[in-house]
Amino acid sequence: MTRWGMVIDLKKCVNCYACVIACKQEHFLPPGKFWNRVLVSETGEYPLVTKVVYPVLCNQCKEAICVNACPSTATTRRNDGIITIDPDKCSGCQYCVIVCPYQQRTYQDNKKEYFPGQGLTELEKIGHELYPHQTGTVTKCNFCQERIDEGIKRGLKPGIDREATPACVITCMVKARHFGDLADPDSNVSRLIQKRRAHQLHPEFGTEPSVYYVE
Amino acid sequence: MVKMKGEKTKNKKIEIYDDVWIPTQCHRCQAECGILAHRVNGVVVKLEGNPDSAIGSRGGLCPKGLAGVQLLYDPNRLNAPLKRTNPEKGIGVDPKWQEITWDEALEEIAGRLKKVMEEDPSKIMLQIGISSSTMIVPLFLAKLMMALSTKKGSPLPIISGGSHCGNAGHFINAVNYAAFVTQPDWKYCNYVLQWGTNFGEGGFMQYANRLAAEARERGMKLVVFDPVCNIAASKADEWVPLLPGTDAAVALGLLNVIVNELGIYDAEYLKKKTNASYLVGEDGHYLRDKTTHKPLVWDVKDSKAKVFNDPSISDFDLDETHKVNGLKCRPAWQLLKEHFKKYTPEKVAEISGVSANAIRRIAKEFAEAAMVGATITIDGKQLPYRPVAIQHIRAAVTHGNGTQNTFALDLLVHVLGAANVPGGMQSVSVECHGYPGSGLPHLEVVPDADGFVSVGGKWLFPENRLWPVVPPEYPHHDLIELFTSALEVPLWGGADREELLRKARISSQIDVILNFCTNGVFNSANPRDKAAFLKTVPFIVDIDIFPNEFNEGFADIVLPDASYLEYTDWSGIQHMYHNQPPVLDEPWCFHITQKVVEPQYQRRHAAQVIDDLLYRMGMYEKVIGYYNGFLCLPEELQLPHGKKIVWEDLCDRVARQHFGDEHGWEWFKKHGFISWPKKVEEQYWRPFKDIRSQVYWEFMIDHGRNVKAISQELGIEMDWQQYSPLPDWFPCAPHKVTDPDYDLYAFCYREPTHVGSVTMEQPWIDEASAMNPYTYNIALSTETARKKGLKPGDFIEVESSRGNKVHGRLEVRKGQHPQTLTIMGTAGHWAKGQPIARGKGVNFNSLMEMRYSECDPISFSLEVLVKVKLKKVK
Amino acid sequence: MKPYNWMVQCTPQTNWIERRGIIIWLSIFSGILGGGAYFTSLIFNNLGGMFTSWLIVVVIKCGLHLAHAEKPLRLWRMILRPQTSWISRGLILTISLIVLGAVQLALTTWAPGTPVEIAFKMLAGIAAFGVMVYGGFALNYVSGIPFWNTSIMPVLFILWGILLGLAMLLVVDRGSANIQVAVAGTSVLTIGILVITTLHLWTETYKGSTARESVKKLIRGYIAPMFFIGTFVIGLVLPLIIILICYFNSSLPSLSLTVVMLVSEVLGGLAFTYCVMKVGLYNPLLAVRE
Ligand SMILES: Nc1nc2c(c(=O)[nH]1)N[C@H]1C(S)=C(S)[C@@H](COP(=O)(O)OP(=O)(O)OC[C@H]3O[C@@H](n4cnc5c(=O)[nH]c(N)nc54)[C@H](O)[C@@H]3O)O[C@H]1N2
Ligand SMILES: Nc1nc2c(c(=O)[nH]1)N[C@H]1C(S)=C(S)[C@@H](COP(=O)(O)OP(=O)(O)OC[C@H]3O[C@@H](n4cnc5c(=O)[nH]c(N)nc54)[C@H](O)[C@@H]3O)O[C@H]1N2
Ligand code: SF4
Ligand code: SF4
Ligand code: SF4
Ligand code: SF4
Ligand code: SF4
Ligand SMILES: [Mo]
Repeated sequence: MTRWGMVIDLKKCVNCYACVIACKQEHFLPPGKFWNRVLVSETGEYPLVTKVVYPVLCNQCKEAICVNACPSTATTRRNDGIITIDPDKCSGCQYCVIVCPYQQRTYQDNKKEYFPGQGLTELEKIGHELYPHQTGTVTKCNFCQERIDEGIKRGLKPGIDREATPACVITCMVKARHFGDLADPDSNVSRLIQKRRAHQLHPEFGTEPSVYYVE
Repeated sequence: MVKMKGEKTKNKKIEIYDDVWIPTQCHRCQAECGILAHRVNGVVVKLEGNPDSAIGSRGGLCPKGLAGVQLLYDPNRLNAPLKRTNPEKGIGVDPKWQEITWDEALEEIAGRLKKVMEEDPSKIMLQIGISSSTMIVPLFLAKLMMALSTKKGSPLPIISGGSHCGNAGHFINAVNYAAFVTQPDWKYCNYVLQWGTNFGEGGFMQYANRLAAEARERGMKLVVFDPVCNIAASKADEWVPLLPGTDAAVALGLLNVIVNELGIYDAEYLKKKTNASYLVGEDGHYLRDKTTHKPLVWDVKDSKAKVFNDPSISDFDLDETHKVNGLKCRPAWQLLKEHFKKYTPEKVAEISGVSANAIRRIAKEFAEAAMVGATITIDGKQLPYRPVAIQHIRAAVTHGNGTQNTFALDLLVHVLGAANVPGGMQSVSVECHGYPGSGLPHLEVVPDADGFVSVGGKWLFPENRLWPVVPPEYPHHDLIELFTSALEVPLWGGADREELLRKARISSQIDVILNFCTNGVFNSANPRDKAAFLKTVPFIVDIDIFPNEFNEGFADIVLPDASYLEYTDWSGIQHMYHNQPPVLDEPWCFHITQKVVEPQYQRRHAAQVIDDLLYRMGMYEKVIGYYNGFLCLPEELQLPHGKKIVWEDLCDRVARQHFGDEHGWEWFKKHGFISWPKKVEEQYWRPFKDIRSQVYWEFMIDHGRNVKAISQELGIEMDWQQYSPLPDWFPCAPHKVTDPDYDLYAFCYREPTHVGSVTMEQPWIDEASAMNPYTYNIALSTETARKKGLKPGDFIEVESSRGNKVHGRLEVRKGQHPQTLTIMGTAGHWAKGQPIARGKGVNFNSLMEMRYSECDPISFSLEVLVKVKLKKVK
Repeated sequence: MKPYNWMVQCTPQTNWIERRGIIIWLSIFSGILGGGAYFTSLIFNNLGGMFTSWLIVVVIKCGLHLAHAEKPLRLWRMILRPQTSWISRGLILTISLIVLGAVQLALTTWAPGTPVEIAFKMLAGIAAFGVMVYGGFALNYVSGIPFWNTSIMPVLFILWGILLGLAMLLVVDRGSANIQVAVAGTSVLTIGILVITTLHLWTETYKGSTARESVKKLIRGYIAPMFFIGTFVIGLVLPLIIILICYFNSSLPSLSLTVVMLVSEVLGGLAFTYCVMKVGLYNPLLAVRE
């Protein structure tokens, strides 16, 4: 069985936030809402300091706490490992937002404009039609499941063919993001994980993230 | 576009009558990457990188590029010609715009221009920026220069923020690489010393980011010298903090260790590809052949001085003192070698704060990594293999000692023989044999009279012409005629400008400014001083896409340009000085720009507006002649006289001229770009040519003397010592501030999220900037903040040693030199017309002052370092 | 919090306490109060108390849930995952309490002592206990917030629930109130809460920087007054003093004093739950940038 996963190469990432913006563009996310972010910190003491940059997104956890916590069954785990939310089933209780230790879920509580007080731009207007977000529900990164599903239907391979690959992955100018099947030991991601001894973010939470990092 | 499932969506399903991907180009920075624009029902909904193009990251798109759609649909864009009704001008003054028609606007501008042209065209200033690509040069600057020039004079071209830019770097690139821009050979390089730039780590040019990342992945070592643990440093194997403005000292220290302590240098290269073997007399000048006047070298075998390119030379001497024509002389290399000895690692450590140990260790690593003597065979051609390079652009070299900085840094390359060979430093696009069949575009490196690199080919813009340096003249209306080694002379916003003009006896009166693609008050130092000048200009026209600090404060008429998703042109066919990846495996790749949507509202494509303006001034024939001439259109493709230009028809002619009739505009509209493989001789041109770089700057002696003579006659004093044939570290003005209250060096830098200042207005970029701890804040080292009793979030006032102040919130980082203070360079907007940008971050330029006396006397680079003090305020 | 410090430094949970999230806090408290009071009333077999607490659950708790929901028509869906979700369980328990409670109230009124009534009492008791405690488990389940991620949470919920129940009983049914039991119960529970809370804070300080940060926020931050004065002084110490004074005077507290006790304990409980919600800090994803 397929299990989609991502590997982010921290040696390559240049802290550019393109992934954050590409995701917003792909999914017409309203202002202030993010399905992924880039975190910046540093370790060490001057002059032996290292700047630390971590792009983070929903880990599509194998043992997803959010699925367990969701009372309405709106959040489910697909057979391919993607944790998905059915917007028509979500009651908006936000318990999933609370329980996700990675804080990767956001509540859609507004239809704000990107240019406050100046109305919706044409881009936002068509976005409301093409990719509506229901207010009063929770959303999060869905590994671009629409791209994957549509791509597979067209015979494309996610992680290899760009049209079937998540938007944040293809926009990365340094190719720091890799996407593929974790269940396949020969996939690009599995090999990277093997070769470069990848780590997950906070494995101690026991959620078995499908997003890995290599340094 | 895939639509999401769900009841709501089902109800909402809209009819899709238009769904296309259009190949075009991003024009948000000089990289001009190939992109694909997705249009649905007439709206651009998504931008992606073009995966098939080498210009870009092969499919990726940087944050600025992505935000291009928000730029397109920003409700704050300029949508109609505007006229100022408030006669008062100045920073923060409300222009009280009134909408006028295009006819009214163009008639008024035409009238004004005609009047000034009759008086004296040199009272017209053409001010440009970097933002919307290179088309600025051929379609605006060059065209207007040609059209508006008369026997009485020609307009004054100015790059508004340009002296802030890497002009010292452009100078060294021109002198030693025949290039505007240089880069490491990402494919083969194994060790890069990077000096104050994030070039391949978030800087512009996606391809550089992509290739640099691949290089790091393959194990290329990166050492970053920077006062801040910037992005490059965070990707590097080693970050070496140094005091700003001391790069030359460190470079010379490294050279001293490499050459004198380790005894490593590429003698072959120095002998044949540089002037290290040229014999220098006691006056510092070359010994020249009596008849040919060519520089002499010493042939070891024949024990005799010969002209440098004498084919009978078997071996060039580098080491001995000789007597030629009764004059004592030595190869230039001896002078250099001895000169380096001044820079012991211990002394350098004192200047720069980089430890002597680090200097010795890095020097050894770097020199050994160069593998002097090694070769590599590529495409059956055996070439020297020197996998080491350096990288610098703006920040490290935009100081009063800028050119000397770049000179010293660049010697690291030449001493190890690593220029334009596999693994080493590469020139960007100076050797291009053109599309097979047409041979266009054509560029080549040719030797000048003394054997040094120079450029040939008919597609060069004047900007590349820094070398050979032309002799200085008495200034007429701009000091550029005097300081000929400068790309430009930043006169127009200088704090000591009046004094300088008085001395230079230049009439400073400008009657009309045509401003294009530049925020010429926000991006120059200091806005207040620039404003003082702008207030003296009676008529200012600005062509922009946004209301900004410049036009709100000073323009009389503003014309709304189309943005790159709304116009069509061939800029990508002509522009190649930044965006062709200088890597053999990356093919030549030339793009066109095509509109994805029609210009909205009353916006018009500026290039065509200029033609219209000249038409109204009765100069249409000149315009046609310009295109025919500037583009060198062959006879059959020349524009017919007496007929109005049809834009796409002109585009078609340019395309067919370059790539043949089968590749006309229609072909390009479908394919977006054309591409063909690069040849080894194009990429690694140096081993194939008998052309030399200058490790000893003999020309500086005369050039300096001449510039100094005229200057001193006029009473202009600069740091003349810097016109020296040997590189040195010179302290710059802020290093000489002695008042202990001003205890910090302040400087600015760029973020990957921003390009120029116009990205501040896109909400996505704003959100991303807010996610970055430093973009909108003033940063200090954690240690320094603690010592000063300051905490993150404190509101602080920064005051320069000249009393200029800025305010902002404090953030701290451990990865920063304790004696420095940093600000993200392009923030702090105050224009009312940009509500997203307004009031965010800090305007660094308000802290600086542009004083000619502190500029680099050679390249006229600004001094961008400011000595400051700070305190907490309410 | 600055956007760039989000999950880089300890990050407060906001969804369940800020803006509309305020309602969640109130409904969590109403669960403790309603469930606790019902449970206590059952123990003391006090019909008035049961009815009042039933009303609290039906009107206040359910009302708050409805008020919070932007999609009230979907609320029913929340019973669909009792296997794993404490919210599902809580909702099922709440519905059970409402339904079983209604039946049991009727039986207790009209057929007291019958085996059916006793059976329903048992069932209602279980439901009431669950309603009182499930919020605690819901918090305990949140692994990202160390301050919550402890079984002390449900224990505190139980103690508070019964304490509040006792106070309510004193007000609602003065006739059958037993001062000995009231005093003993209140003192034991109050002291229990004090001890366990202190213990919790103390152990938290050893659990890592985020937990320590939560404790710091609680006892030194801007909510410290709410915690010390609201929870401790008003919610626990004041009622304890009142009831001890009455005890030593060997008299039942007057109606007004019991009301004062109830009100102050309710305030204390509100303050307690508010503080708990407010100091819920997530473990940062990266090492802390000082
Ligand atoms: N503090 C500080 N100042 C600096 C620098 C720094 O690092 N820090 N850097 C300096 C350097 S190196 C440079 S090169 C300069 C750059 O300075 P500028 O060349 O002035 O660049 P931008 O800030 O991008 O401003 C460009 C203007 O062009 C407009 N524009 C954008 N697209 C279009 C278009 O399609 N058509 C038209 N007509 N207009 C358009 C924008 O609205 C904006 O007003 O700044 C210099 N100034
Ligand atoms: N994303 C993005 N990329 C751009 C641009 C943009 O606007 N946005 N603009 C383009 C243009 S026009 C230019 S000119 C270039 C400029 O590009 P760069 O030359 O890279 O300039 P900065 O980013 O301003 O500064 C880079 C680094 O120099 C360090 N620095 C400052 N002073 C010194 C010094 O004295 N010595 C040393 N060693 N380091 C120092 C700073 O800490 C900073 O980390 O960028 C180009 N690329
Ligand atoms: S797009 Fe790539 S390089 Fe940029 S922040 Fe995201 S992962 Fe890093
Ligand atoms: S990261 Fe959070 S939201 Fe995503 S699957 Fe894991 S627990 Fe669920
Ligand atoms: S908010 Fe929606 S998705 Fe999240 S737990 Fe509640 S019902 Fe499930
Ligand atoms: S995978 Fe798709 S949904 Fe998830 S962060 Fe990337 S772009 Fe956004
Ligand atoms: S690098 Fe420059 S041209 Fe390329 S996509 Fe980014 S902003 Fe556009
Ligand atoms: Mo620049």
